[in-house]
Amino acid sequence: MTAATQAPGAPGSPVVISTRVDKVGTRPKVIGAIRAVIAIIIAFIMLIPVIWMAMTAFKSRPEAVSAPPVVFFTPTLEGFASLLTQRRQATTAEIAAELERTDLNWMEQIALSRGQLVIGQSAFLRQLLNSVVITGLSTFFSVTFAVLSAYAFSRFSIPGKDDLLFFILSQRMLPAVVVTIPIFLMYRTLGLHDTHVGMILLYTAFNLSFAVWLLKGFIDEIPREYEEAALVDGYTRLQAFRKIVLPQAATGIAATTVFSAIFSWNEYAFALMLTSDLARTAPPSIPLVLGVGGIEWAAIAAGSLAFLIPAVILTFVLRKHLLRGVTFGAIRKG
Amino acid sequence: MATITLDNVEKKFGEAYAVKPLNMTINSGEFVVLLGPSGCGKTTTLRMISGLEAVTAGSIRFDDRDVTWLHPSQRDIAFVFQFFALYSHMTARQNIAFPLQAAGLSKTEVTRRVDDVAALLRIRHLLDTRPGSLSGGDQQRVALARALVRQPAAFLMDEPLGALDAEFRETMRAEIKRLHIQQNATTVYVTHDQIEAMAMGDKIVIMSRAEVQQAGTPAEVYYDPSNLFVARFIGSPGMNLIEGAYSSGTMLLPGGNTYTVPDAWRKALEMSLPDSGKVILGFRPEAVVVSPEGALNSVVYADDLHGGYSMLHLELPDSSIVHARVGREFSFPIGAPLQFDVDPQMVRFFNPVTEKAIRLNGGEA
Amino acid sequence: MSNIRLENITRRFGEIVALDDVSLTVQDGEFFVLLGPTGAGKTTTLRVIAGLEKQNAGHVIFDAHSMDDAQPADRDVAFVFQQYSLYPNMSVYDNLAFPLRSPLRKTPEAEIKQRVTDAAEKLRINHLLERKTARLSGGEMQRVSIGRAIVRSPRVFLMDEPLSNLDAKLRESLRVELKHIQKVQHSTTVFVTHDQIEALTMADRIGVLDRGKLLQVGTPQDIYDRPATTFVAQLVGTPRINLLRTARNNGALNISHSDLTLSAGHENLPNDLLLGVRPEDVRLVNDGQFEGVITLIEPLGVETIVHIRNGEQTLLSTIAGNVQVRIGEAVRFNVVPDRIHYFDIDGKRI
Ligand SMILES: Nc1ncnc2c1ncn2[C@@H]1O[C@H](COP(=O)(O)OP(=O)(O)OP(=O)(O)O)[C@@H](O)[C@H]1O
Ligand SMILES: Nc1ncnc2c1ncn2[C@@H]1O[C@H](COP(=O)(O)OP(=O)(O)OP(=O)(O)O)[C@@H](O)[C@H]1O
Ligand SMILES: [Mg+2]
Ligand SMILES: [Mg+2]
Repeated sequence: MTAATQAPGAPGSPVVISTRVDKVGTRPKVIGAIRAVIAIIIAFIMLIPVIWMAMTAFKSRPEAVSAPPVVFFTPTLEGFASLLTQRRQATTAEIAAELERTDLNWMEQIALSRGQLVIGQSAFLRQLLNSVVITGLSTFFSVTFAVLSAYAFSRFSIPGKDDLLFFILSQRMLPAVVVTIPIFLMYRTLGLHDTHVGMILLYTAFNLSFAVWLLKGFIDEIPREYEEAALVDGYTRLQAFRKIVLPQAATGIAATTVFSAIFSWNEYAFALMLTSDLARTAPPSIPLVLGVGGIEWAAIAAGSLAFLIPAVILTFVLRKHLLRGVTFGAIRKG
Repeated sequence: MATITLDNVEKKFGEAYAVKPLNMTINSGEFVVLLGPSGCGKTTTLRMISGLEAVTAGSIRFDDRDVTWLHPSQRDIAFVFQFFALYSHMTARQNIAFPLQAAGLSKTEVTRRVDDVAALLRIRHLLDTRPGSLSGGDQQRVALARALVRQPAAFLMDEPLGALDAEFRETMRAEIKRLHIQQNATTVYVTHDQIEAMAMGDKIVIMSRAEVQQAGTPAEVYYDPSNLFVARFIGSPGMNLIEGAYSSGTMLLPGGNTYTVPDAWRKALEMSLPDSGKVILGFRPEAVVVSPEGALNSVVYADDLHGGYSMLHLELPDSSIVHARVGREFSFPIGAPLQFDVDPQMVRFFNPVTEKAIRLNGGEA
Repeated sequence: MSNIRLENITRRFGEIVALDDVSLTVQDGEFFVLLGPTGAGKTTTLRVIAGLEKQNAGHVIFDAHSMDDAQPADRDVAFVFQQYSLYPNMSVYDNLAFPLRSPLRKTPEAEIKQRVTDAAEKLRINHLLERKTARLSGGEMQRVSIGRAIVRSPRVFLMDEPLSNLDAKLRESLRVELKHIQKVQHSTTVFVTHDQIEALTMADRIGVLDRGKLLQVGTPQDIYDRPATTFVAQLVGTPRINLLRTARNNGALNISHSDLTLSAGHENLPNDLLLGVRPEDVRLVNDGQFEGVITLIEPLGVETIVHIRNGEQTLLSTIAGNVQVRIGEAVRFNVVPDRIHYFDIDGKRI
């Protein structure tokens, strides 16, 4: 007998302990490498539209529309300049005057090189900010309310629980376009049209039903014994909820946050109907970035890119929790 | 019925051995139990015999037939799984007849064989019932019947009682063994429950860390374990093991106890031990003889009734615990000092470095 | 530490009666084991004591104070669950400290540290204190759960099958440790299990529950030697007790389907009854009164279970492991007369 040699899958562990985890041995490195390569290739293919968009954002105007498309080019910030400013055609005298100035910023320089004058900021930054505010607050409210009601649905016996749950889900069954007109009329009467509050309210309500269902699933998975242990240990239910349930539900909360945020962030139909100026969000406005003289493809691409970034940041920040969420089914019980 | 021979059979998953090269002969009509803790390679061994898993080296023979690369269906074996996969839409009779129909037997022959096996397992009155309305034990019997009805060259069973509660296990254990005695079918049975293994096996093959630790009859593995692993694993609780230093007829145990080594063992120990004299003394709980003149000092740590007998847990001066099986009329308060001896017939010695048992002739197991 | 009294507790879940008029008293410092099969109502009883479940009728009384309206937090009990109860996002230390940090207790950190270290030492987990609980083995997890109960010296310990998910070897050693700690701390404990060996070996007294009814309460000796019903008799002891249908004829007891006949020990036995004989009380002896044929041998090492057939009856007998017997061998045996249990045909002890 050679007791020193290690059993596969159970290196050095005492033999008497029986657990059924770790059924799979170590994979050869080659297979791992091959998988990585395949994953990268697939990711690349999936990302081609995004990459193309990013490239377009940095192209000059003729490059952006040239056929056949150019792949290698010198990046310029023209697109961003057109996105962020309002311009008009300059006269020769104005150009000369501008050329004298030494305090031109980069946008003015780009405009100048195209023979244009910057006459003010575009609405894009404000719209992006609106998107951030409305998405942020509506996500916050819907997730908060959803956690509370999902916990209640999961843990307490509520009269008519099943009916209520179904009712909540049914909120989601009507397609948005069907209800936009009534809501538009309602909002106009209530003075909520084109206000932040109105949009936050709407998105919160819209996300809530879905969020409750999603979170209820996650909270159901958390064994009651955790809270009950805290209850007998001398904590109130609310304290047990805060100290035990919330940290354990982190994965679910992260997943719900991302789903809700992405919905609000991308939402187009309501935003188009219910906002016009003050509370207008980015999605309905990006395609409308009109340049002087023709569609500014580079500017649209730059807008889309800027629009994409917050979503990426959010996902990146929550990635640890999300990954656990994605593999949730594989987590061992007990 | 076939004799199964495994010749240097091994299984690797990637770089890791699930089963290290293994030699084993299962004689025709023998009931062999593969026993070991979780993950030691029992199931893998069984699956290699059945052909459900391909070997990575070595060969398997059924009698003189090399079956190493045969498909499971060509090996003429019956496999009983832990969770009996009964078809819920068929009656018990249809379930049992299923493997025979696959073999294309005549209707009358099928009926006859099903009736025979049902009589053997005492489930004739259940034949027209669907599995859903059978109790757990009866479902188990139907599943066994389905395996038995084929009269294969060998039965392979992977923890068939694992899903049952304690009460059924005891009954089914006896029932499977009785069947084996009547049918004398070559059987390989996998379990991690040492009581089950002892009760059922003609021969027990104890595995740990992908290799065989000892193969022998229940009495051999119980009384003469070949290494520390087997000594601990067999028996509930396992063998008491105390490390000490041997010199000229006595063993100095940690905490100041001195144990006088029986004469019969002295020569063996002197021959096989290194100069340090380090050796492990092993004895079963029933070998402890409590007596006021006992040479070993301890205090009572806990004391519990097991029904027909009591188990004393004695704390030695170095705070290790020794288990002692005593008559149920004995009862001691916790903390009471207690002297005991060890039945000289029942002591065994182990080399702490190799972990192997020292034999009376001075060799190692 | 406190004593606990349950008075006529009934708990229903819709149609199911989980507890049916259960009354019992657990003494101060006692190790009380509730034993019963699945669905017997063991967990429900613990949850009613802890206040996690409200009884439909009856009273829970700690030291003569009614607890009927007290919240779980106010009852000052410690609950060890079968699984799950460790908080995976905390270290072992924080898990152990958690009950002490509750707003009810507000223990100063220095004292927390002291108590946690003490408990950890008792349970031999001091080397694990910094570890996250998700990285513990089953046995270590269960030790930490027990540790979380003993750090705060509650009035009562409630333990719901804390050992049942563990490996056999581990269970054996934790059983001994747990019993030792309980005896040293002198803590009132209610321990739930369906494993008869756990009940016999650990309990000061055992309460046997079945389908919501408390069948018998007594010391392990009582339960083993004087089971109140055949159900209790079969629940404790491995191998299981031999139960033999028997008819009484003129002072003799004829065991049906066999030619085994005993003289009736008691005067007032009914004509139709069940005899219970524990396997260790069936003794193989050369000049035994009865004869039979060995049909099966199960050598367990220390002892061997022998199946002896007479007529259509099979009796199980346990004999010492070093005695040699063969299948098919004709043997003679005796039954220890004063250890025979008599039950009426409904299973009640006579
Ligand atoms: N398909 C597989 N791929 C990789 N490793 C495997 C595979 N099957 C088994 N193993 C590994 O081989 C070893 C032996 O596994 P096996 O299933 O034979 O154990 P076992 O003795 O039957 O254990 P248990 O009592 O838990 O059923 C384990 O370490 C296991 O992780
Ligand atoms: N919350 C509940 N809702 C409905 N029925 C319940 C509930 N809790 C328990 N029961 C029922 O009450 C009965 C007793 O359950 P309990 O959990 O106390 O049994 P137990 O003795 O602990 O069993 P086990 O050994 O399986 O844990 C069972 O029939 C169970 O189905
Ligand atoms: Mg297996
Ligand atoms: Mg329970």
